[in-house]
Amino acid sequence: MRWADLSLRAKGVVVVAIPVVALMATVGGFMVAADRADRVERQAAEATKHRHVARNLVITVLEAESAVRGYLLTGREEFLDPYADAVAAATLNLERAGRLFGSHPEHEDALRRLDRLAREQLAILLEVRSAPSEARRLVLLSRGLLVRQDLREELDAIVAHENAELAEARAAARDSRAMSTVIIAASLLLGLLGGVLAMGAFSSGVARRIRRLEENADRLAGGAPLRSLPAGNDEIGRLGRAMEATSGRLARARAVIEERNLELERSNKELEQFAYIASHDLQEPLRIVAGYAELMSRRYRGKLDDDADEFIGYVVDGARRMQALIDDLLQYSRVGTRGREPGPTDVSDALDQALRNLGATLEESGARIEAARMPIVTADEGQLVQLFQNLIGNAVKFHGEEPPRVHVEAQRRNGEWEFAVADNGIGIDPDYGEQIFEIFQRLHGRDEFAGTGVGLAICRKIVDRHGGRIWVESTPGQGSTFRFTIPAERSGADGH
Amino acid sequence: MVTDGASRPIEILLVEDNPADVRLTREALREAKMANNLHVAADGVEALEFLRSANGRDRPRPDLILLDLNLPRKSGREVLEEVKSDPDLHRIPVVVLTTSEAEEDIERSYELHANAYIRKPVDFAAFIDVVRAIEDFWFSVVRLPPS
Repeated sequence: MRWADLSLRAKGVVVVAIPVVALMATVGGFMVAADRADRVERQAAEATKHRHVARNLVITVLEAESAVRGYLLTGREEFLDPYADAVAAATLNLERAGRLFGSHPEHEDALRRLDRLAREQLAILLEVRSAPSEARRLVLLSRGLLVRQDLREELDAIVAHENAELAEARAAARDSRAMSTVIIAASLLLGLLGGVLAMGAFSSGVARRIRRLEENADRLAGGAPLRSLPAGNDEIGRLGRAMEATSGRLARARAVIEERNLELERSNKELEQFAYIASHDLQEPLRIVAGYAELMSRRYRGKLDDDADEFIGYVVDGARRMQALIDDLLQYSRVGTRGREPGPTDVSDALDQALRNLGATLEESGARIEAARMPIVTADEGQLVQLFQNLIGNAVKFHGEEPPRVHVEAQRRNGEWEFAVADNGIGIDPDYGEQIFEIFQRLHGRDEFAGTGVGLAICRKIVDRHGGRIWVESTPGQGSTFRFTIPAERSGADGH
Repeated sequence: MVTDGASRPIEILLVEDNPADVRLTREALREAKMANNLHVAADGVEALEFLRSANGRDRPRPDLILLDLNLPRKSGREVLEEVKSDPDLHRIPVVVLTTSEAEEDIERSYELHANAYIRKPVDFAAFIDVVRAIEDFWFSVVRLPPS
């Protein structure tokens, strides 16, 4: 199985296990070394005890001998007192040696010999004390000399043996310490190396891929194409593939939406173009109809019969209405096709222009218009003029009993400017609050109010193009307030 | 021109392909104050032919050209361009009289040195007013160079 295909858990286990194993090897090395050192120490202590016991034995025997010599030289009984003590001590030491060496078969022979020699010497000394003759005493003393020599040799042999064993154990301990050092160093080195390798593998295989995954998550959120993820069949790989699939689906969905948007935009443009051309071309024949109808009415009014006058009247009226419709339709289609790039616009200028354009109408109706302070916004000034002109024109047109009063104001809220055109007119049934913004929607008969039903549709189109909203608040009989918004910072209009 | 006093009627060349429009213009001119002769060219080619073959008798040099923009064969824009770049003709005032309200048409016409641009009103009364205004302006108000 490849490293990349190991699960994250397995990778983590490997990374942690390598130093742990190295650590365990190190601890093991330490323990082995300590155990060896312990054993050597015990051996050394034992060897020291062995030498001590052996030497004590020899010393007590020598003390006994020197006591006997003192007695022999002086002939005085008190010189024999140390002898008795020495013999007692020697006996004790013999027993101890016996106990001590009993458990050590390698010392058995040496011990036996030492024991035998010590006993022999003590026996010789005993005999010397009570020897009947000087000659006999001399024989015994020379024999004792030999035994003493043997005893010393035996002691030296034991000490040498113990020393040799001790040296051997010490050498073994040195060797073992050296080996432990090597083992510890090696395992530390291996642990370090393994740890570094595992970290490297983890870093390249896991950390780097997680970073890429993170980057891809950001890209996914931002809608950018994803970067490729290094292969691997662990959790990261699966997450990466899931993200790629999501990104692909998003991209496909976006492509579909973009295509639809383009289609929609195209068909919208075509429709606007169609409306523009159609209304433009409709004007030509209409002008002829209207022109000749009027020419007829000028030239023949009263010269034909009453019916003819009436019919001609209808033709003239129809042609005029159609002309108004076509004009409005043209204006409506021009909001989209002939708009200008929005720029900084002083709304009070636009409002003044709208009022100038409405001049005659306002004068006729005796309307009073009040306007509060207006801001500067990003807008197509010509369209803003038209917007105010249509709204104020409507406010004046649909007046009630009172002479029309119109109040215009602007308020900034939530990053947009909200404009209000309030009147004291006849108001609008709230049921039709939305419908009035549709093209060719009229709420009144022609004999009540003139109009084509395009004005508010133009208003909505202008506001839409600027990224705002338009709505009406009204109580029938008490007036209407038309409100529209324009974004304060940046206009939503994009020149479409 | 006016310098000749009332002795000579005003010569007007109307370049217009729609006979109904021609007639309307003729009717409007009939109600005008000044005596005038209306000559009609139905397209651009005909208009230029008329202008270039002017001989002062049956084919007088017009005092004013009323020019529609959308014409068969040769458009009003081309006629305008040729008239204004012809040293013999460029002094004749050209009034563009058209249904087009398009800004590019207006701009282009003045770039080609049109003397005025007028949109044909739908209303006949208004149309008569326009024709009368043209007549007034070009033949009473303005001093033109002697022909």
